[in-house]
Amino acid sequence: MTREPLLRLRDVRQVYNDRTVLDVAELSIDPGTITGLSGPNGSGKSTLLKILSLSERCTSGTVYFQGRAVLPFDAEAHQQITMLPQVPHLLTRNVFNNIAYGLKIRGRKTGLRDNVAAAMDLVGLDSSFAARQWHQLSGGEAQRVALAARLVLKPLCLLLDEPTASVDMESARAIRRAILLARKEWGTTLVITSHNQSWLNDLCDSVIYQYNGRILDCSLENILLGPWLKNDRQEFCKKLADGQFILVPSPPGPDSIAVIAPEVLKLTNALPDHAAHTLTGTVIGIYLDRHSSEPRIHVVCGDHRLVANVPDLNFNGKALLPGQTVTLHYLLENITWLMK
Amino acid sequence: MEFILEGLAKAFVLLLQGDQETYSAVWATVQAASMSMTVSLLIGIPLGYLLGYLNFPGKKGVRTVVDTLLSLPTVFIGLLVYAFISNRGPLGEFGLLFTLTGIAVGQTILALPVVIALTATAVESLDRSLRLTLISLGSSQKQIFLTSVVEARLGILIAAITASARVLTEVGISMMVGGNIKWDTRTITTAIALETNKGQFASGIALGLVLLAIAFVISFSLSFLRRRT
Amino acid sequence: MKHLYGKPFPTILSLLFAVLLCASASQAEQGPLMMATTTSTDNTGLLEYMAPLVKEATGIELKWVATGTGQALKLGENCDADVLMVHAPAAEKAFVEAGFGLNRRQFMYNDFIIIGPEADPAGIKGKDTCGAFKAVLDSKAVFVSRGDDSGTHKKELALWNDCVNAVPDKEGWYRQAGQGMLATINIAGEQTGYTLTDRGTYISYEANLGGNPPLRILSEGDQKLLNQYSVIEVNPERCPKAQQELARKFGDWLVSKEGQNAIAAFKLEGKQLFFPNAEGN
Repeated sequence: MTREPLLRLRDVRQVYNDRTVLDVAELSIDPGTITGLSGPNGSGKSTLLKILSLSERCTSGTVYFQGRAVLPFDAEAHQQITMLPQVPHLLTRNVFNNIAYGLKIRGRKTGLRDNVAAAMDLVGLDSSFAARQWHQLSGGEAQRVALAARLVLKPLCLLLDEPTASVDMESARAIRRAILLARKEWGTTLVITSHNQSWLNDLCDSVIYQYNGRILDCSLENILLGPWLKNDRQEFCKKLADGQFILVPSPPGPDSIAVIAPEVLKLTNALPDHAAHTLTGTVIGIYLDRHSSEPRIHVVCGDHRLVANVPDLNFNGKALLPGQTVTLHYLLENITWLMK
Repeated sequence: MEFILEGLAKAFVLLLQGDQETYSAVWATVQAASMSMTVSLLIGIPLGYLLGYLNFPGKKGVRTVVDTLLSLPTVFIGLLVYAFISNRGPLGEFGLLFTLTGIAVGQTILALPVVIALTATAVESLDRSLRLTLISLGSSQKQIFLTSVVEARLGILIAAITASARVLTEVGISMMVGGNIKWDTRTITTAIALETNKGQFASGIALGLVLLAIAFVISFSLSFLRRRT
Repeated sequence: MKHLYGKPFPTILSLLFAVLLCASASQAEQGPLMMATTTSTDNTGLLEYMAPLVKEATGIELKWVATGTGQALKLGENCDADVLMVHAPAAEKAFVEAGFGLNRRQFMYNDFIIIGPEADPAGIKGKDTCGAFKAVLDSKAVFVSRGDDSGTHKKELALWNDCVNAVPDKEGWYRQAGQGMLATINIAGEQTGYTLTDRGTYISYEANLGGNPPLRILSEGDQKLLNQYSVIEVNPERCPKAQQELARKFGDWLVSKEGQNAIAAFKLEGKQLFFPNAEGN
């Protein structure tokens, strides 16, 4: 039995001033899921979020909410979907009234005090915060108040735009906790954008990668963007910050995106033979892959962070540790290209 | 110069002794100003909000016109209103000439551009993300309007204060449309003009100080509003 | 804006409007007698003194708007007053001839005086009116005019025309104030010049300066300086709302023995200002 997707986009395009900022052929968000939306700045993440939250009209295409085609500001759907913008914007009133606002305008005034207190608890704000004015909060506290203002509505769907960018660690933790609780308690569907891929990867059921307004539905590790240069030997490559080159097979198009699956990158000692290519970098972290429960290492090569699966954390008889320099190699034919 | 000091002393006497003529002028001023301020705020705030909030072709032109109307001389407004409400004018049957209501009509014309322009400015200087925030919380257009007005309350308060100041101190409209009729339409400002004309400068000063006292009371009570927000 | 204030908005607005209309309409029906007059009758306090006497004798409640003569006549023309009390005979006659007013009756006069600095640079003291005007013209002494189309101003222009056949409109020494009488006197005082004023305003001016003003009476008493006041009813054929019966009644009182005596009895600073001269008295 397939459940009806909560939100669905079909052939949605958004054009600003002759520039196509969003072009999504098909996107479905299932109810009760946490979906991550990743991509570099300017890839259209915020725009996609605005369209999903029905706060913006798309140039063309249809948005479906619970199977029903809806227009922006659809009264019924709008009550169920709420969005947390990147920069928390609070109303010029105290914390309590900020959180209570959504309930008040919906006429849900019974048990107001309790609901607000519960929401504050959810985001880890002490009850003493209730009387604080909007200008007496730190960035992280303000973001938590904004989140509480939306959680208090127990929304069916909550969209968050870079919720932990520029907040302190404690707030980031509290926000993450609240997000997971919301899904657990109320089955809230969540869509979260971030350019912190590993954070998203850790938190979300699935992550969508967005680039140049298009959706790339795949796991997001080791994505390499163009443009691609030719070296002296007429091979295609990408130059890294430390002078290394990542060699790739002939790209289908000038802006194609290359993907090196983590399984394909292997630790090596030996010098490469002709068909394999190497990259040297520093281990910055050892993680557990949530899905496969296998260890993997994050290595920084130049300015790129690459992820490699390592079945065994021992290498050369020694345990792998962060800070070590390692060499990774891959076979050229194992590089896949994404459709442009 | 002595008449200034004399006027200061006279002001206290007038107020404390409950001089009937003075209180009649004060009451007339308050009535006319209340009427005109109420109407101009009720109409002006929504219009100012729309002007600040919406983007439409010709917005700049409208804004320029409104800003120009800020400089309408009061005698000019008085003359225009007289032309309309005179018995020979189109609105003659309403009998508004030489009444406080007639004065209030003229004062509303005076106050409206002030309220509209300053409200528009206050709304424009609202953070653009306010709209997004309110939408993301599920507000309807009506709720966006009301909440934006609350958010812009400081600027709108300034608009109200500025408009009241213009209305309380104008002479041109009250004189032309009101006629300065004793006990009826003699306001503080027209009374000052009369006393000055008669050469009673001290009385003129005294009445001026009474008007200042009223303005002070209003500002003082409004300062509480400011602090609370 | 309807959706902003909700459904009741148009209802409330029309209710408000209706209340205002009723309030003002009820005033217009059978109301007090509306008089347009000049500043000299008001500023001297004559009308304040007269109003209760009128009320007692005739039951009429008198309300007046005091402006310049030009504006007073205009108010009559526009049907915004029921009766006029002004002092500009030529303009009044034109007013009546044009059909704007009826039953013009002269009922009192006051006089004008020529005042100037005590030093009297033009040497007009003791001369009659035309002699004084000629002297000012010859010596090019500063002369301050009302310049505001008021009764006084019209009188002054008539005197220039009468005495020297021209108004010194563009002369540098002839300053046109465009203001009320007291303001004009003050300007003359500041610029040590001459001016034509009604006696009543001068008496007030003198009293305000503690009896020692910089400008003194230098020429008075000439027939030419008489300032005739008349009362005119606004024509109800042109102005259906004009309360002609009340206006007539008021005028009757002014020219009656009682009214005339009241006028004579009025004193400013202990001096009589206005002299009753209704026909038949």
